[in-house]
Amino acid sequence: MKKIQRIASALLIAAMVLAVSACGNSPSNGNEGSGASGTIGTNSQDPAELSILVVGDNTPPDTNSVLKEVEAKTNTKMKVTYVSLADNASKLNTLIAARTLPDIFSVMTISDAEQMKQNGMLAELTEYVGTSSSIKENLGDVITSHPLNKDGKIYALFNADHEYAQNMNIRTDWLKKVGKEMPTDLDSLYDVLYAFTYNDPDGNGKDDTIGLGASIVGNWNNFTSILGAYGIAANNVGLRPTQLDDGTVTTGMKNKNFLEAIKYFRKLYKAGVMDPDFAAIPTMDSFGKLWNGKVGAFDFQCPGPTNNWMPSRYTENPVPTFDFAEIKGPSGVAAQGKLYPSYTPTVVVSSQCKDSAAAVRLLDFFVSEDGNALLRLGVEGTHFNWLDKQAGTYEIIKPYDDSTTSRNDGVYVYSEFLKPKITTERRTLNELTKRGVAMADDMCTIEWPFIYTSFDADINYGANLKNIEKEVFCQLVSSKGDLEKEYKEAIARWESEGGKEWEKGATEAYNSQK
Amino acid sequence: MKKTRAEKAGMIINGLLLLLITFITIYPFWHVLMYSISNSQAASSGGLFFIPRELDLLGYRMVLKQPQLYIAYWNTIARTGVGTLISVILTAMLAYPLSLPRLRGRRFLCIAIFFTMLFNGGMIPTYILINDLHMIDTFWALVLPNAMTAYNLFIMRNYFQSIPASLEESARIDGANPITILFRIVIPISTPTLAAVGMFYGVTNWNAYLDGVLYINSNSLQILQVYLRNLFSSAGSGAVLSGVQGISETSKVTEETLKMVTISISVIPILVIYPYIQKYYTTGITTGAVKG
Amino acid sequence: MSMQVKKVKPLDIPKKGGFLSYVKSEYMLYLLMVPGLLYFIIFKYIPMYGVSIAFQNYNIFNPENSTWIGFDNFSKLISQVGFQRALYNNIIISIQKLIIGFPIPIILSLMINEINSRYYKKFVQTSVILPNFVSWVVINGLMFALFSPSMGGIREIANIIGYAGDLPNLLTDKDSFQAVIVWSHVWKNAGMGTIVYLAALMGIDGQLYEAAVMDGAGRWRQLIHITLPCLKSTIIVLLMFRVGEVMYAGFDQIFAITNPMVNSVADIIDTFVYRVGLENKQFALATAAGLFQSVIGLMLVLITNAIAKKTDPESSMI
Repeated sequence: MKKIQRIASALLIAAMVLAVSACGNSPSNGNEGSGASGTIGTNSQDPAELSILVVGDNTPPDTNSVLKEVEAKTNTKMKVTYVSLADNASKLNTLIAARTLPDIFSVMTISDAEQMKQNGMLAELTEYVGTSSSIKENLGDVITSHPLNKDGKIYALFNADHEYAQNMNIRTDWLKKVGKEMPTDLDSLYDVLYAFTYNDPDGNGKDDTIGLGASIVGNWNNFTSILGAYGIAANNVGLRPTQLDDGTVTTGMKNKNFLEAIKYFRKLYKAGVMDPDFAAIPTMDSFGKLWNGKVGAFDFQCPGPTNNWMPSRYTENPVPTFDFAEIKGPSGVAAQGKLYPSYTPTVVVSSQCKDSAAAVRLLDFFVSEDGNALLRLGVEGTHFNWLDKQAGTYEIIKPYDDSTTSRNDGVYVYSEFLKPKITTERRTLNELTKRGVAMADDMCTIEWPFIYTSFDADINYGANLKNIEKEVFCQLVSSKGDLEKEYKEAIARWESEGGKEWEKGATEAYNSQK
Repeated sequence: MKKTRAEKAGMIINGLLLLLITFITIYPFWHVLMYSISNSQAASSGGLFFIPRELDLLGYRMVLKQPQLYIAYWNTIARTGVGTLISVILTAMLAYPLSLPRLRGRRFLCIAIFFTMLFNGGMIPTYILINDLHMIDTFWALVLPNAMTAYNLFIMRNYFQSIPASLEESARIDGANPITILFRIVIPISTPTLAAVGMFYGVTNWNAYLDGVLYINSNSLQILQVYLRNLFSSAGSGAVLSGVQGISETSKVTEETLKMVTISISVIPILVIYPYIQKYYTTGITTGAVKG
Repeated sequence: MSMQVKKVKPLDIPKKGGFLSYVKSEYMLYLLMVPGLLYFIIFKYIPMYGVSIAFQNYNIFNPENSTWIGFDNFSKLISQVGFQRALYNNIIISIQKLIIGFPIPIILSLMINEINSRYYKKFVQTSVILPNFVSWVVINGLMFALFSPSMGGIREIANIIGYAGDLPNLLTDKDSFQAVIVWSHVWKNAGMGTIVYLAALMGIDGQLYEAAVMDGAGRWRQLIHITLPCLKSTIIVLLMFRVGEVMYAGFDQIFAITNPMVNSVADIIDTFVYRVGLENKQFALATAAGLFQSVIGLMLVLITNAIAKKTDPESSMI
């Protein structure tokens, strides 16, 4: 008995010792918000401590070169917590509920940000932003258009950079093989896709190619150019809302051209010239088809296919060559949804932050040209050297040409947090991609009702309605039944599952924004 | 013991059936393993993997080079070791009295505990509790909040119930108190269930990530699953899909390979340890003890 | 300490005398339970006030201002067409998982128990738990690699046997997708259940078998008359847990493997609530859904327990 008790307690003690040593020299500070044990006051020489929640990316050591450089340039001491995109919402929810918010963090929706502001969780930044040259230069007057900043008091910062528009990337080496020109409209696109599918563009003698690569499981990117040709605005998240002639704001499925667009996709699907697995193929497998020379056209932001994946991702030798098609629709224009300021993710400073001035100083540095270059490419002279800063060419210094090593030293990791108008990434794209990006931006002309205020019906039904849109799109494209009838049923379903309320709420919200 | 012909045929059919089942259950992990050591580009064409395509360990080199991996690995080993030990001891201490018919209030306690399997306060109240206990960002936040489950408790209680009462009674006649009986008699003859329950706790601890996300802020306490999740979540969803460079901007390793590598890295240790645990619940050491 | 125990310890339960004197005589038993019970009180019962959120218009940004709104969250939830569909799918999928998934670990453990070779036994045991460690996201990719009619394993096999016609697409066909859900669930989780039964099998007194063999009982009769009766209480306990979980049809799995083509047969309560509730921080709604699931689970458990008790009083769990 005694012996066993002794053994048991010895085990427990051993466990505790193990645990304590596992804690290492970590601070057992129970409260993240108080992480900013303030250095405010008379002595402005001490670096201000700031806790910051960074979404997604690997975890470099706390003492990496980039972080040190940022701290030195902004006179701060940063405590960074890393959370993956998938867990960000849960993490933030608990921090909100326990009122232990970090000093700087980003919020994914306007409605969340508004509620935080209403409940006094955010710090007002007006006076500090006024003296921040880079923020003013990049966000300028746009900053007061953000719903949180409407009354002239600044609470929110956001990316000055807008998202990339989509490109229809076409393999020019395949075009040459099948003797076709770059497609310019929907008919010539169909011809090219048909030839890509059935005329053996890779010359391997096997019928193993598909014209258009497509997957809808994760995102809608692969469908935006064709939808755009029909005047329907969409982005990676899905269909944009549309405004009917009577002023009602409603789902993109009610766009007058939606059924026409579906008919075109059906034609592609039936002829086997777009990926027959589009409804089930995981995104990465769909990319894999492009990388392995199984598809010849891919609707995607061109920085992927022609810059970031080039050449290392492609397995063919020589690597494929691409150019971009402008697909004109029935109305004779190639178009995509108009781009509006990216209000989300919204970067905010917690009201628990002890030194908001330092927080804004840090964020101001993030959006400066030098700051963004530092976050993106690392310390000049250590991680990289400009070859021609104007043209955006640079060389990476060994051993940082290996992305693992460079990320361990903090390169890239923080660069998505808050971005200037023209990011280092845009500056350093290759010439072809720069042209593609400009081309895509010019196409963004379709007007659509941009709603940035939150409304009840969207909170209650929005996510489910988005889901229905995706479901309907897949069913209509692949079904063999009566299209008109199925379309009517689908709209009826959308309306009965909260669509009616959503329509009303969206129209009101849109009108109240004006 | 002689066997009839039917019995022999049964044995063979049984063996073959299990072989088929084994194949079906091994293949997915085999797939992951083979994919992880294949060349990324060759692997990205999909399909089945019986052997690696162009053996390439670049993915492992990339992941194993990160210093944070080792911190995270150690934290996970520590929480699994400490957590499992505490969990098994606590569970046995509670399961034993609950297995005795003479315990008054037994039924009430069993229902109350079973109740926690069906009803829970949810993520936010639990977080607030941990915060109030000042456990946020400490090692104990990984160990204590999920130290016990009703499921494992009932499995252990059930096993204890199957131990012949005579064994315990004779010990009581000899003057042994319940603590002695539990540690001296009950636990030594219950190794199969202790091993099984310990393994459940161990695997749960090893695989848990949400507590690591919510309760931990410091990198020095980051656990393996959180680390790995960040690693391929950044490379996978966000960065690449928006057209932005993923982790592999300058290397040839795809996100998919990275995913397979991270899974292998997190599972291989379990596979190494598993056979040692296995022997405790597959060899019938109990019969002799019970007889005695 | 043990001296005192010896003194007050008669062998049978002190039926007379009040509860206090009973506790006094058995205080060691209660002492043993203190840490475990404390755990359940602190970490499980204290946060349980969170359940009340289901009856409030709770807002995480301003929890102090929550007011009681009765069953509004429930009616709001249940009135939604999407929820009704999810509830229906949920029940269908769960019942299939229970009927198919519950007996398989028992059968597997019995089959494994029949193996004579020690090494083969170990090998089989290790391999059946392997799928448990592969995440659903990966399994989704894997199922695509197997079942895609255009590029999957079944196409490769069809090519080998010279079949070039159409193949069914299990992953996008509404008629087959629930089977995909159920069988992939069984495949991933059966191994862990098998371990419990294997451990329980080890607890069976070997003398029983020896006696049966003396009586000339074959393997089959041993199985029916010894093995299964001895496993009965374990089976009942595990059944109770499964029945209690019937309203949870597997969020992680379905979230990872569903696709827009089959969503109408795969959407379950948890995936629905995730979209409607948690993505929009509607915790009250999500909690209401959770409570709804728990209450139904509890009722089912009580019914199952009552049936078990009626057929055999020994075998009821609680």
